[in-house]
Amino acid sequence: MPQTPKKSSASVLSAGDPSHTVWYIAAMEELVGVVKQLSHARDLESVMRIVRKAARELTGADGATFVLRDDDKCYYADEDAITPLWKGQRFPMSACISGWVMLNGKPAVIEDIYNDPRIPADAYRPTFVKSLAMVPIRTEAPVGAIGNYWAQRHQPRNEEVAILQALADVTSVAIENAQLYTELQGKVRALQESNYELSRFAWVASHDLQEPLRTIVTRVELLSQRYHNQLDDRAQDYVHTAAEGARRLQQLVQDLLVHASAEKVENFHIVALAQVLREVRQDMHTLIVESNAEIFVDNLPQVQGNPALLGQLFQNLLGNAIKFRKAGTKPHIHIGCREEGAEWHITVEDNGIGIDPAYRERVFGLFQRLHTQDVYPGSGIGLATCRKIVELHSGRIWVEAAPAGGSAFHILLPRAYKDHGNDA
Amino acid sequence: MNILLVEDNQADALLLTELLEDTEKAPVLHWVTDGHYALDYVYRRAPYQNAWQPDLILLDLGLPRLSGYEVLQELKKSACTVPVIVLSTSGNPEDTSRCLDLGARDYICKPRNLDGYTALVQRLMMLELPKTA
Repeated sequence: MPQTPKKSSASVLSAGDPSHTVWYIAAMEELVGVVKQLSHARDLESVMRIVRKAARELTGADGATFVLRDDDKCYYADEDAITPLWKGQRFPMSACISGWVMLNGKPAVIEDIYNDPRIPADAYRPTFVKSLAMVPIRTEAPVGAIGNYWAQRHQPRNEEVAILQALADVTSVAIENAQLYTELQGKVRALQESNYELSRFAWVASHDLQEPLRTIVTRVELLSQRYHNQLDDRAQDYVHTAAEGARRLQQLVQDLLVHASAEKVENFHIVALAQVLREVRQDMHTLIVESNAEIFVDNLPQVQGNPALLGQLFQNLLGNAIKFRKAGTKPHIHIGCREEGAEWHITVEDNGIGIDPAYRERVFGLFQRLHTQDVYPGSGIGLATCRKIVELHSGRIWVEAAPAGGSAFHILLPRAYKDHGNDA
Repeated sequence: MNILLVEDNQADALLLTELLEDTEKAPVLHWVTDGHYALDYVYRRAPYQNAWQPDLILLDLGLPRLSGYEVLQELKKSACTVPVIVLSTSGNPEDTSRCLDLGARDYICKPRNLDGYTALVQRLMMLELPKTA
């Protein structure tokens, strides 16, 4: 939680010296800049780098240290000074002024360090330090301290200490943010790993399922072909149903395998979508001819991606557009593309049966089907794979109603190279 | 015609045997279950000292002990002239080109159903094979 300085700024200004007021305002302005910088800091190192520099500049001191509490030790994590101080060293909390500051949760201001019992003089003798001011980072259970040091004897003024304390207060927020961010990064990484594991498992499982399935399918087919005469109608029906079930399971396993294989590919390169679509149409030639489908394709751009995955995307979408056609209607599919800011907006529109608005999000889930197997067979995996592929390409996909009454799938893909424009 | 089938899946091996036996050519099929036995067979090491030189090798990739890739590598090293056709589940293009680079004559994805197997057997029987000495 943000810490608010205990004293209001009005009370720290020394009365009667206008030059101090001018200094104080300038320091406050600088502090605002530091707060801005700190708001972008994502790790403790960046926080320290910003703070050790600011701590010295704000007060014009000859040196500044950034001390972190490390159990019962004070760890001099970072510094910025005219000559080296104690960077990298650890001192017991009880034998160090930063320890006193952290234990007491309040600043220490010392004009003559050799005349203060809290100061371990031996540690200071090799340094330039004559005077110092030290403030805790967080007043409740301090996590560290910020020190300012002067080479000439100097009585740190109230406003110098107040500015330093304000810096320490924003630093504590920045440290907490950095810790949260690091924690979040760790969780994101763990999640990515577990996702990968899951995907890997799905792949291995579906791959290994193919073998026994092949055995079942071929044997059942052998049975029905070679022993046809020895089976009565009921037995033939059993065999037929078993074969159908096994084939459906094969398709399911195949679709799952494709879904699990859609993984982040290391190297994305420039892919001409027009070429991808040409190949998809070749692969789907039989289905397109048999269904009498008409497919119109606008000029399509080049995008950054993986051609095999993008091919799978269009194959699934075209396959759906043909499968879910209106009975007695020639499938009419239009693939369009327009530029939209930093993205390409690609649409795949059909004149098929469309998707009820209530299900337009659900259809992208795994194993989501809206029809029974005998009306429109399928595994309910295809659109989940489409979404996965589009997201791997940093894009978005959704479905709306098409003007012709069917479905319009919308895909946004980042524009890789603005200048390469349309490539038909 | 002699065919050496290298296949660790018994069901797949039995199906191919049965379908090949039913063809006009009715080739003789020798079945071994891993890459080591395959090399022993080709080089006529024990227990295959008296084996006939195969006219064709049908090779699975995922095999115990010595993988199909290693068998291909070994055969290439010894300049073996027996044509090898890889039969595997994975149809990904990288596997295909790797096998062809290692000297395989062809790479065929294992069929999913009986029709596919029947077509595969027909295709094998139409192969032009070099006459063995």
